[in-house]
Amino acid sequence: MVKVVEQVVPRKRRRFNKNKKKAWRKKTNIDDVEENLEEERREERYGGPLEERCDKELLFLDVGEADPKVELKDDDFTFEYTVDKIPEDSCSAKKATKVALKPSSKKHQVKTLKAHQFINGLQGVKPPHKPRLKKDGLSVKMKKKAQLEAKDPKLAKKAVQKLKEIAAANKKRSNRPRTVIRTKFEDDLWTTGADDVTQECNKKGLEDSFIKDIAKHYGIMRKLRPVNVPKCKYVKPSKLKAVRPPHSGASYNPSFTDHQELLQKAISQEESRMRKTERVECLTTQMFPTIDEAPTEETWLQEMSQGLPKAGDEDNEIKEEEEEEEEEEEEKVDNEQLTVTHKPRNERKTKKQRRKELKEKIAKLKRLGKKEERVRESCVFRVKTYQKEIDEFLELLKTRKHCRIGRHKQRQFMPRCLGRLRFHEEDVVVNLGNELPGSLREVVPAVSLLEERFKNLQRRNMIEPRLPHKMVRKYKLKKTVKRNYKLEFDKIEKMVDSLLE
Amino acid sequence: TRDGLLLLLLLLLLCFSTKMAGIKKKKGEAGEVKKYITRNAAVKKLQLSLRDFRRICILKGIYPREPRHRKRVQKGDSKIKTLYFLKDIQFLLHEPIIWNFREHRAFMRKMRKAWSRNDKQKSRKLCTQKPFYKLDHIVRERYPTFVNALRDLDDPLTLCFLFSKLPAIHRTPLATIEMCRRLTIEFMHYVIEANALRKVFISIKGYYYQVEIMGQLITWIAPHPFAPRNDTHIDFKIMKIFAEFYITLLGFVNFRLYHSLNIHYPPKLQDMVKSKGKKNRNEIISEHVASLNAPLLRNKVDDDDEEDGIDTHLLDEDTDQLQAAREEALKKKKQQCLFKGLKFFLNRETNLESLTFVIRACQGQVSWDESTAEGSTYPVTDESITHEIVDRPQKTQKYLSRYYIQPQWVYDCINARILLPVQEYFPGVTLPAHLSPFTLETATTTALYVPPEKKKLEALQKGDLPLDQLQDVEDSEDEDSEDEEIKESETTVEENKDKKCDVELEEIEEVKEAVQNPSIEKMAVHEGSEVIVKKSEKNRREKEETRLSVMMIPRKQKRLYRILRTKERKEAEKVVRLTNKRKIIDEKEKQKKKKSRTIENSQKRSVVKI
Repeated sequence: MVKVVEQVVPRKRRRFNKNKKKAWRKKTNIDDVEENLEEERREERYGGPLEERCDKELLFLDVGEADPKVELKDDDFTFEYTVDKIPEDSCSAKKATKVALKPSSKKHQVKTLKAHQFINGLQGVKPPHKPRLKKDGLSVKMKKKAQLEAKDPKLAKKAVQKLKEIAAANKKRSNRPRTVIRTKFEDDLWTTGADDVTQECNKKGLEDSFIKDIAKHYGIMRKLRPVNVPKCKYVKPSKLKAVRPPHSGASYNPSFTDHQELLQKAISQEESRMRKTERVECLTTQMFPTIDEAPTEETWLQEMSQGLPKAGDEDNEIKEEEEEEEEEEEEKVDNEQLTVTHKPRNERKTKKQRRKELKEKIAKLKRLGKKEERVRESCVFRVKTYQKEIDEFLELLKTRKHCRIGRHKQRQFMPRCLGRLRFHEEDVVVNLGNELPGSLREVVPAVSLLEERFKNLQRRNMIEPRLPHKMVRKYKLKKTVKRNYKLEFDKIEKMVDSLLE
Repeated sequence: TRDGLLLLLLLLLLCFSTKMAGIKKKKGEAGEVKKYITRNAAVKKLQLSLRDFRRICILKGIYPREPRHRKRVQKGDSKIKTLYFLKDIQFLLHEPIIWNFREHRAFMRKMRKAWSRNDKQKSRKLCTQKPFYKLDHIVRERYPTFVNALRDLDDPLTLCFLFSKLPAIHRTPLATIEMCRRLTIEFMHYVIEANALRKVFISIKGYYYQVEIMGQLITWIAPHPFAPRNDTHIDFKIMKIFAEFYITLLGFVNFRLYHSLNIHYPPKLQDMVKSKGKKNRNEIISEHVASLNAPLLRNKVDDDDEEDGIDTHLLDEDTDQLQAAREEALKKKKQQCLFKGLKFFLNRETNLESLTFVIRACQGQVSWDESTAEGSTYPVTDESITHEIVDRPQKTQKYLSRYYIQPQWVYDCINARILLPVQEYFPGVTLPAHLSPFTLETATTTALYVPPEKKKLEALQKGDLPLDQLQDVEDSEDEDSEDEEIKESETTVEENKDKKCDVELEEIEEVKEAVQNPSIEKMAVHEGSEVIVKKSEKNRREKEETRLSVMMIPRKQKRLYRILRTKERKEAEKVVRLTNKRKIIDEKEKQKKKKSRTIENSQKRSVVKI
């Protein structure tokens, strides 16, 4: 059953205590007062309450329809100018074209700002912004110039100058290089004394030895001094040549021996690589059995129960037990025969014994001391051997140093470890015997030269070896079928269904 | 006062004790750690993105470095990080280009915004304000002198030659490729004008060229024409940055090089080009320049040649070296005008660019068929053509006035620095091996056995064997020459023997006379006669001496001596073996030739009879 509400009871007005100042301020309803005040303010804005205003202000004489067009002042317009090429002489039309300003046929109305619309409606109120001197002033002047130019273009000198400026700016903009790739090379980068100070000095005929210092000083004072380049910057990261001299076996038409030599190189490289991979294989995958060889539970049980007696042969079991019993008996017999004869003694030493021991000890110490002295004295005769040992040690140091230097020198030609990845030497480039071309026309390059260059940069430690960055998507892409396609699909399905039926 | 004194003493003691203890040293504040900075720290310090950091490092020539003690530098972390010198990074801080990079980032943000709002007007306006930067000052900074730049030109040239042959796809902007093409062609023009080419080598990788400019040897590789492109394993962005810098460098180098020869820098042609068809004039001119077959406009040419540019003051003491240097200079001069007066015609299947470059660099004249490419100077029908270069088996040889040869001849001639005999390079003939001129220089070939071909070449280079005679010798005097030589040698030996015998006989007679009549001369001064030692005696004495000296060798070094001796012996044996082998092969070939000749003759006879 649904109850039908017949009457909506108005909400009961809540009452508050207004005995406190705070509550009084908050809870009293002052809407009507505020409304009244607002009204008053509005009236004031429109020139005071109607009662107080005179009739003239409120009423006017209707004479008829006035001109609907609002007269626009000059300030509301600007002239647009277009750059125009005027042929200077009619006879030599092709050669000289003069560039001049030409006022466009339409006036361009300056739109009033939306923000000012309200103020524009009011009489005698000026927009709050100060007109920008440059722009607005120019437009008026330009208009005048345009008028002048209409009479005689030569008169408007300044206009022409302005025009030139515009043209120059245009040219500059068009000349501005679009890319970093430089296309024009118009000066010598390595000329000495290209800066203005040295040129000035040269003009005045100063001595060359002075000029350098003067230029340097002025450079410092004007903060034009070049930044000091750290010395380490000129140390190249590798001593390898940029272009390695090619192996003669890599010729397109090599001699037999050279070609064989290069082939041998390639083979040895391949072999070493194979050996390495084999070793890794041996230590990783070959260590573990394959799935079909892997131990199952059954095999494991079998292996674990190796050597344990099986349920089948009981005779063996009995025999073994008998043997064990015999052994145990023998051990028992042995234990019974043993008797304790030696007891640990714990007797104190006599004084005599102690004295004797002390004497012996002192004598021993003396003896040892004497021996040591003797040995030390005899060391004098070992001077030669000592010298030899020292020499040997020095020699060792020398060879070590030599080795270290050699290693260091060698390392300067090697690719270093610069990043996470290691540099891998590329394959020796070689054409097999049957791949060698018959003539120069048929030569097919064996490697991509660009790739070789890239590797070369890595080999010379100029860039660290890197892997191409893989893009990893954080979220899956959502797949939807387009509405149009969906309709088409439905159609096709229907068709198929109808056909099947 | 006493208390005051005590206080003072206490203070002093305190000071002293603190001084004794010293400042505690902390780990990671001095030494090698301070020398390096990790890449991430550097990026953070420069306030750049990683991509921009890479870019500026490449442009400024700052590379990652490997420290001696990685663990020490990385504060105990043994994981391999990319490290840079701290000083390098501090140096980078001053680079004005970094500001451009930051501007560019802001610009890209604005552009992206405009694009996403589909505000085309704004994006167009923004495009005109795109920030860009110049690399001039970096070139100047990295290469303080021009010679420095020349020394480092290998890499730029190779990369520019590579880029110039790339197809223009979205990964390689057209501007880069066109600029590379232009610069490489300009450089080749310079080499042609200066005759600076020294070595050429065609390998399976590409064409190796070596030129000598201002005493610096510059080597580069140019790719084969029509090479398939397969560069999946390279970071193309990085290569592009390198190319960007190298273009600027090469442009300035070209400018300077051109001005050193008084040539207009953006190259101008000497002769006016007739424009045909619809093509633009500028386009045609650029094509003619690209053909490398037109002389460039020069301001004026200094006729006075420099006195062979050898620094004599350094070599004054060593006359041998001076002599060698002089000879080398002479050879170079010969090489420079190797093809002077020769006229070449290139068939369309040859590599036009390489051949024109190489031939014109040695002052030859080149042309090709008008339909193959722009810039041909004379047609095939020209009777004054001396060599036509053919690279396919051609049966008809129209003109008798010219040699038809394979292109390898040109390259081999330049490497050998002489005009080689043409016979071995005719079309259809199996070519002699194309040897590398680079390895000859490096490997000190002291092998005792020298194959006859090489001997011949050396003789040709020395000028002992004139070119014209060589053919005759090869053709007709094969069989006779050897016998004659043997005879001649025998006769000379006999003559020598006779002379010796005469001398000995005379001596003996004199001595005999002296013995026979001693009484005639008493106590007088006579003119002494030369004591002549027999040759066998001399040999014997020498042998004895060597034997003794060998005996004197200490025991430690005796082993080494023996090893050396056996090595020598083996080498000598090898020489004998190889020469014998060669003899046998030669004889076999000769017999073959004879057979073929006789067969031909018999055929001719039979034909005549018929």
